[in-house]
Amino acid sequence: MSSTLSAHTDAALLALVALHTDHAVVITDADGVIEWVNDAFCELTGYSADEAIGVTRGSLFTHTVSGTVSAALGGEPSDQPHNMELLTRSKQGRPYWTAIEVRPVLVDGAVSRLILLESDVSATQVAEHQLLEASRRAELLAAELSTEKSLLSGVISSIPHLVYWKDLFGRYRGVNAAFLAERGFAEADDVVGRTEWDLASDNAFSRELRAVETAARDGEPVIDHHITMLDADGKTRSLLLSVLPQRDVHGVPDGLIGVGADVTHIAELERTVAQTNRLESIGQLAAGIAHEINTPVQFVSDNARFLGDAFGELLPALQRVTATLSAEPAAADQSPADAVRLLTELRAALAGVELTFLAAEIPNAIAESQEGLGRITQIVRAMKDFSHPGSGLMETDINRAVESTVQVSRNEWKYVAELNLDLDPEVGLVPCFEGELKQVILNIIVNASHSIAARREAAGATELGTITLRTERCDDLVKITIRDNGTGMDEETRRKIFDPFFTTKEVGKGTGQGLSMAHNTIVTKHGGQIDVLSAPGRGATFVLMLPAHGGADSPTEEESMLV
Amino acid sequence: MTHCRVLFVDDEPNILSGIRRMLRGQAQDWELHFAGSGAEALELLETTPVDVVVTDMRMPGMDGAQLLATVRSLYPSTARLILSGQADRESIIAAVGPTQQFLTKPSEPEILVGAIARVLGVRDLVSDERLRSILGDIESLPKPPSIHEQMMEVASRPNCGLSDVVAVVESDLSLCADILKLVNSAFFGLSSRIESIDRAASLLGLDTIHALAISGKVFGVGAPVPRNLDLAQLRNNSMRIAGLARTIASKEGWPRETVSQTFLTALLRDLGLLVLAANDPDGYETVKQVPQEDIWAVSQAEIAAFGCTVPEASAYLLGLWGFAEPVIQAMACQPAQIAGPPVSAVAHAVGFAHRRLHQRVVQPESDATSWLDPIRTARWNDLCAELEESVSEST
Repeated sequence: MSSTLSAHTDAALLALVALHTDHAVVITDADGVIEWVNDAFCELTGYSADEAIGVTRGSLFTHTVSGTVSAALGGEPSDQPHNMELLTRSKQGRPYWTAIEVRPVLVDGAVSRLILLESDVSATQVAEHQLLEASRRAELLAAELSTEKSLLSGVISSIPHLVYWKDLFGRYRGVNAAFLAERGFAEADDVVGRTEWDLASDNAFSRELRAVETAARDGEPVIDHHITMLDADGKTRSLLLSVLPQRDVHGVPDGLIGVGADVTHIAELERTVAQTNRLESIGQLAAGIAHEINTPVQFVSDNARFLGDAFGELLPALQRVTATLSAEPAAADQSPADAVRLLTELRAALAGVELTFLAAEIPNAIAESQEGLGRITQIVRAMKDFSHPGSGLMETDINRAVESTVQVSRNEWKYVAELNLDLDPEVGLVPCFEGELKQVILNIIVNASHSIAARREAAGATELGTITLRTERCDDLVKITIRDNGTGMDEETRRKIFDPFFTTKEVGKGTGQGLSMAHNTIVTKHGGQIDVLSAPGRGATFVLMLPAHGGADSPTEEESMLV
Repeated sequence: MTHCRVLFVDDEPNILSGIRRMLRGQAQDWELHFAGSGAEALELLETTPVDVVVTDMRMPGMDGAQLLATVRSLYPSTARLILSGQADRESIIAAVGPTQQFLTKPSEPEILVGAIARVLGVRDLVSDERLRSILGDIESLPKPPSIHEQMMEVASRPNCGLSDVVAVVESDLSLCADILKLVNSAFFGLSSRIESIDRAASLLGLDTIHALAISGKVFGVGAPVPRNLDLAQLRNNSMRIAGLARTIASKEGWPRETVSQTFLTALLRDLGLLVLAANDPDGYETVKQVPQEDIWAVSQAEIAAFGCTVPEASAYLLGLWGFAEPVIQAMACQPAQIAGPPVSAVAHAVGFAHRRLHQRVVQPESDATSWLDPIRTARWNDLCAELEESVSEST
């Protein structure tokens, strides 16, 4: 009795446990048909006890299930305990991972019931999945990184520029192929880990490199520093070296990256372009200069013709007068009749000579001819001056450069504008590239003329515009100001005006190179400054400023050829 | 020569004073006037009509082309010349319309004087002021509309040669005249006048010809074709006369230059008709009624209808445009009178070719002392017959 009681008590206790455990508990018959479920099951699956009892557990998986549902849950008897993990959904559609433990209850060796213990393992499953996912992604990323790395090092290697990177102590961390080739090393390992001192290569490149890196030590990048050196064949090579200090993610200085570009070829190309440009503008000037010369030639030759004719008139008259006088007897022997005859003969000799006219015109003809010849001389000299300037950086008479440029461009401006010169005698000699400087002034004068012509045409104006060129000395600067009262320009144009290929002229009329070259010449070659002040309808004022003494940091000629 | 007025316009005072001194010798024949700008010139013209204007091209304010365009519309009988140091083709081509002659600075005094004298000289050919205005107003002679397309087509051929261009130009007398006028304008800097079309075309160059064709200048249609004038027939006749005259000249062994002049004179002999007939179609109708083989009656009818003969009008135009003196002279005395006052060999050849067009065989003059004696007449008849035969065989 007591054992019965105790068994009964045990069963009740167990039932309580089964009822209240966090695990879902299902009891089926031998064929898997549910006989009992606890509250946890209802909560987990969303089915009520009434809905669950009388069907198999398997039939309650109405939604897609991932994972293998064992046959036992579908109603096939199984005497083996087993586990499964499935991703399924509750009756309401909530997805969850469930772990199901199947325990057959054997009575006399035969399956009498199945006890299913189910629990929601979503949290564990998701975590596991995430872990798996993460590790898979990490692998992928690593693969990608290694591809990227090899790509990047391929790119860096194939860049024709020298590329290297160093740590804070000046030790090479990496270099590319171009760098190795330039420095004459076979392998990156010959360089990596060493400093420039360790490499013990005391050549021009090494010295320049150290100098630039020293300059970049305070954290400021050095961009496009020019290096000129001789290569093994003794040819001049031009390099642009940039050094970019690096910082780590925390902003702490962390070495540097250096890039060197060989611009020998480009420098040559640009020299050719500049040369072509100059020839082109000389060609354009030639027609105007021909006109400037043809005009004085016309009136000089007209006057010469006139002088010849006049001389042809005067000479025979004079000769006749001389002959008459020398044939005369001495004054003492003369009778009054002789005197009358002499007078008549002299009158006859001079008849037909328009002396008043000739006296008035001959001096003018000579003066105008001399003026014309002077003009021709001036133009020819200016042209020669303009087209054959000294080469390189030379002490240049700025005022004279301005004057000869004004002279050769006369035909460009004289029909549209008066040109005033206001030259400061204090300007004196300034070290500059004379040819290039004149080219800049010429470009600006020609632009000013076009701008005035456009304004006059738009306004139907007949009075001439004004171009004023002014030079002045301000301390260590020489200022050249070129002001016109043409159309002027708006702020947007003003900002773009020094951009290469920017032009406001019609297609085919301007290359857009003039002012960009002007900027290059003044700023890069001379270390000066070029500015423009303008507003629509207010004309334009170009201000060129050149260092009067060149200064220590002014580039050498070879370097200047680079730009 | 009647008392003539010449006006020089230049913004450079030294040019004007140089010309004034240089032309001192002409002072009794020419009354010289000077103006420092286009506006000043027009002001002077209001009170003083002049025969010739010689102007600079580039001047502040009104330029030479603008001045001449105004002169043309206000005083069409005034001859219009440019004397410019500007050597670029663009500005010259821009002035093609209103300008009758271009001279370049520097010009030898003889060239300048010669050009002005020639223009003044032809004024005697056309005494009627009104008629001079009509002839002087011409910018571009009428041309068949197809000529522009033809020129464009030829010029756009990838392997276009000069001979193709020459063929097109020679097919139209107006075009010939315009091309020669352009080439002979002194801006091409030629030392001698050009009378042959192929030399003219090679001097102009294909690029310029192409540019002219595109611009429609010179090759454009020009003035309207007179309604009762058969342009095709006029052209065919002109080409035939020119062919005959050239054959005579070259077979006679005349110098190359003379052969060219003969050809040109014959070709352009009736150029003036394009203007005269357009201006007075009714007058032209009466001229057409006269039997064409009676060349003297035709000349009389022309004078009655127009006030001058057609060759005189042609010569006047060529004179304004600065064509060579022998061409103008030979043309002005057409139809050449065999027994009349002595004329040049060129005039004889052109006159002969013209008569040959209307007569089967040109009869020799009874006057055996004439330069064109019966022997020469017979030889020329034979030359013409040979050419006509070979032409009819080839067609």
